[in-house]
Amino acid sequence: MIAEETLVNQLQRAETQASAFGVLVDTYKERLYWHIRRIVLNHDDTDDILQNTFIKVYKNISNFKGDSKLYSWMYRIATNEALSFLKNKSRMMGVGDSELQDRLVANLKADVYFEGEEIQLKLQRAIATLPEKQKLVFNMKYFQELKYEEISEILETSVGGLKASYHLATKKIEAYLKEQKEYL
Amino acid sequence: MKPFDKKNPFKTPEGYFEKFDERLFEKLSEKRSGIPETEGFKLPEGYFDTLGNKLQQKLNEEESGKVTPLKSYKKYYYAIAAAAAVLVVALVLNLNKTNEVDFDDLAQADIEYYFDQNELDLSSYEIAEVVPISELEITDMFESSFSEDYVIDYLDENTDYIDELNLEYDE
Repeated sequence: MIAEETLVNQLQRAETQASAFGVLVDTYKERLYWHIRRIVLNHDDTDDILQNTFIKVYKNISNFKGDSKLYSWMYRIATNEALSFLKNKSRMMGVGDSELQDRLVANLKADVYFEGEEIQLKLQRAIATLPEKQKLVFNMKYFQELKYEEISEILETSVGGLKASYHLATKKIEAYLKEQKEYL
Repeated sequence: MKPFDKKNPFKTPEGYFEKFDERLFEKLSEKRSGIPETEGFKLPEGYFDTLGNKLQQKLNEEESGKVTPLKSYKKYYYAIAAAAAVLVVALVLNLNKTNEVDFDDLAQADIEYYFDQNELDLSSYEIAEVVPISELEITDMFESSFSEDYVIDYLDENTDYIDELNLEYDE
């Protein structure tokens, strides 16, 4: 795999930019896709946001100063894009954030790109009840298996705060799933 | 009697407290048995294979889209937007003026008809809270009128204590 520093240098030079961008897309497309998908849940929306993320990266690479790692900078752009997308969507639909989350999860039942069973739907319902920050931390840690240090750099939050958020999130999800099981 | 030796005889492994937080959170972050490890999300076939080309195409479109000469019309857009805004404000003000109907516009007969036709289910206490007592005359309550002398005679004969009447005297 190409070193991040080399890739950034190539991206910032006009003559190597196009080929370096191809390498960048190939390297990060899957990771960023799943990160976005877990926020917006639907494939088509994820595709749009992923493309916008890469286009923003391409256009702003000259401003990348290397203060953070390239991947955390891209993750941050992807997170912001996905969250802004949801905010716009809730404004257009005239519903609040939690109502929108409920609708997104409800739409999964008819989604051709979702083949989860009842337990996976319940898991999404449980995640939907979490505050935004806990939701992000849970997905990044539990499913993407990122390290706390990496999440800390992406979300610009202390490692201690993230550990507490993750702990609270898993407790809430477990309690939700247990409660659902008892009602059956 | 010799006082107790306050020196703590218990010891901990070296670096125990320094590493405690780390080990605790490691334990907390272990995968939970109650939470499923798969999510059920799927992708269209070959999605990632075509993404690079789609992106390149989108970038080319954006690059070529930059030269669209919209700028020369910009000043007209502002003028049109300003005119439209003035028109909307004027319309809104006008509509508000004509549509306002206040309580005074309702004919007394309409109000009485409404009260006759609708069961309001208000207790006498609730009515007393909204009806201004000071503006009421005793004759408002009765359909047939009777003389004041008759009322005084009646009260004389049927009231044991004058205090019960709660009369207010003008000083």
